[in-house]
Amino acid sequence: MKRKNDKAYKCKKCGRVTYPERVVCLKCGSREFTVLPFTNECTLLTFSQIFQLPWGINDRYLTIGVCQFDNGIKAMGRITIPEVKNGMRMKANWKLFRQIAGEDVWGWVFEPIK
Amino acid sequence: MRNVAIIGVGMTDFGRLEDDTLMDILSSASLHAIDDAGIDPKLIELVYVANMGGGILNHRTAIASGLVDNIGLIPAAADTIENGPASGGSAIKNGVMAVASGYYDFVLVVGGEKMRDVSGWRATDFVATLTHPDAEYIYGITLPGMAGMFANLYMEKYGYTRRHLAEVAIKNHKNALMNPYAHVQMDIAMKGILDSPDAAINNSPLAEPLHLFDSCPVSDGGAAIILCPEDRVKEFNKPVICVAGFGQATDTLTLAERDDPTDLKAVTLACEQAYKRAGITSKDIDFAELHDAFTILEIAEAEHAGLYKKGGYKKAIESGENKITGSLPINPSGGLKSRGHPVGATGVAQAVEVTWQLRGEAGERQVKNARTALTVNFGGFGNNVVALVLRRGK
Repeated sequence: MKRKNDKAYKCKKCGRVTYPERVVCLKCGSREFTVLPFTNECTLLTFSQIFQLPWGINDRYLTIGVCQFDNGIKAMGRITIPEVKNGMRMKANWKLFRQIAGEDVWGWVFEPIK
Repeated sequence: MRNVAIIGVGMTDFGRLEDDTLMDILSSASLHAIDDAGIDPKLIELVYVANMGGGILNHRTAIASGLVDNIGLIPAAADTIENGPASGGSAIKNGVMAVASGYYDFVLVVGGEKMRDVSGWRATDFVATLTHPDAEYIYGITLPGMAGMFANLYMEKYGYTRRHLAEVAIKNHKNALMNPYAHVQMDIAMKGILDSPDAAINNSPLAEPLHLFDSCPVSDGGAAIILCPEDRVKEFNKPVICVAGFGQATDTLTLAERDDPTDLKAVTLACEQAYKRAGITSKDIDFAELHDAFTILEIAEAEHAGLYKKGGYKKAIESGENKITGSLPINPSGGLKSRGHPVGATGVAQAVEVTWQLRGEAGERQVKNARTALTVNFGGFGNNVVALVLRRGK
């Protein structure tokens, strides 16, 4: 399955950042975008340590958060350790982190910068 | 446009309905509403069925077609409405428009869900399918997890503590003790869920900062209403309860993409539309049924609906004005927190509760002198919200 989570976009007309992919800019209605590369570092905006997990995940808990990359892209991802705080600087790693129905799934894994 | 009224309401018990299928639940709620109205079923021309999980959880699709067959409403028009946890509100909105426009006179709106056929693990996964498939769901996010991230920010920004959340839970559990239809019939106290060593066991973490007692249960259940033009209510010997206004608004699918993730814009917009259509302001609301799937949502929705300023619901919690005996009762039914949350049924159940209250039929949990009420049915994580204003007529 083609997952549309590996690229972020900037609207050619108004500059609004879009992630994940959509076909029309929410701000100005333009349909033209340029690819916006992710930066290596980001800031943790919020997170939760989640204990009751859905079918298909065998971990005792997961820490999942939302980070803002230094160029404005915001994305959800897994966090490597639970001892984090809002505002922490994080290293953003694009990783293979699970399988769903036998399919490899890649996504963001955030790691606190020491 | 015609004014639209509710002439019949009905509900099943909410909880674990082991012996009932989804169709049994929808049928039972519908027949309760038909009997309550005292309407000849042959008059019902249109049926809207609100359901989110029939296809995934119960291996059943085209549910509206099955319902009209089962309860003898053929050849009425019938449609299933799926809008996540706001399916019930959406179905009512469509029913109201059908009557207001003059196309139909008598419309049955029923919502139902059978969620306890599967394990909690599966039910959690089912609800999580409403998140973005490529940017949220893949990480193992759950709706409690979304609410946990939201609560983390909201509590920090507006100064709420876990004690405030616990007070909301305690209030709604007490209200549900007076609601015979409620799923959770259990009195709880601060000592048991927050203020003792046992609280760590009784009230284990769900999605930090939210704990078990901050969350609604997974429920089976159904609820139904019958709509008609206001000028035909006199044929049914029922009080006039009008749907005075509705509103619906959407927001980005992903929480991350919102400029301010603590701002539930769709709640504000939906409520503003509903107030405007009803010709009122938030100050005219006597009580509200809010979508407290998590305690933090009762707080945030009360504030985004304009009932309180941001951070102002603390005052209601601390003074008790949000209790049934207070000046602005919130969730007299027990809310999703304790009445339960069969997702497709919830928006309809809110309207049923408000109708009982406005008729003066709510028994021990009756809100005194209630004339105008608000419901907020919160779909996704605030990305599709339906608000209704119901008013007792003269």
